[in-house]
Amino acid sequence: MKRIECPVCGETALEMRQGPGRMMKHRLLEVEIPSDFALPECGSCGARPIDWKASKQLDPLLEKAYQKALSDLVAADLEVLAKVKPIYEWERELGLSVGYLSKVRNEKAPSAQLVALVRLLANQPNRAREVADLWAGRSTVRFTDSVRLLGGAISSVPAPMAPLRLIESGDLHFPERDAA
Amino acid sequence: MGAKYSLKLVHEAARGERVELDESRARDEVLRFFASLLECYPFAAGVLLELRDDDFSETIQLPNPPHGGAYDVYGLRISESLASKHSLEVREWYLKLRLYESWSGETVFLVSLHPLEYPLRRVGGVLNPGGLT
Repeated sequence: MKRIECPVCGETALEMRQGPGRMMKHRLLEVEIPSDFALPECGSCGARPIDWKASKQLDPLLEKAYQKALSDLVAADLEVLAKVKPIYEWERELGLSVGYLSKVRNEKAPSAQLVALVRLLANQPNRAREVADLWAGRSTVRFTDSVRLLGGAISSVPAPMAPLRLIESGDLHFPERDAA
Repeated sequence: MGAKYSLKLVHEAARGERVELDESRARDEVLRFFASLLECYPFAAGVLLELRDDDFSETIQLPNPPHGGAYDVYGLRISESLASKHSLEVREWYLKLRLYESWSGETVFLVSLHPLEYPLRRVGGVLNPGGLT
């Protein structure tokens, strides 16, 4: 296919291209455009003007890649949670039906909300107690604690994301329980 | 001085689904309001179809790089029906567009499509963000 004028930079360098490593934002994540999907790309400025018709073909592919990325994220975090206690106990505490998280680990696409919750719990499994307290009607939002943990100021600047790490259950410490 | 690109051709392109969105100030901005790429285009076309001569502000020459060429700037308050159709509260939108000959024919390329951020002087009067008078 011939090159045409790029609407961004004006150079006659826009042509259909395929290939790996082309990323695009879809919902909450950057996902990879399938390498065999041809999209216009400017050889001069790198612009990728995507038109409506191409988006109709591209959107389902991006959605598939997005769901796969969510599944991969939650599967890794569930490995961490499974080391703390059986998955069926997590399912019970999170109000999920028995086997739901196992399905998510295998074939069922998780929601972004579940992925976020599982990530938070995987980073701090001891916070599951707050969830249990919530269902038992024993807790409220601990706003003052939140302010203290944030160093006295609530900021809209996102904190750097801590890397996920595998935690052995023996590494976990519950000061109140240990004291008791 | 009028717009560089004919609104008639802009409307024809929008009706023919020949609409492209630039990444940073159009696609990514509109994606903040929609779940997926696919939902952005009907909205963009809807906005283009509501453009009138009174919404025109000026024609500007963008420096190259990153952008080159002449673009028409518009600002409009979208109709209540378009806003409710797409579940949007923001009614005042800013557009910067050009027409170019893509593989599909005369195509509208939107380098900007986002909520209006500052008061905009237009042929039909000043448009303020958030409907402020």
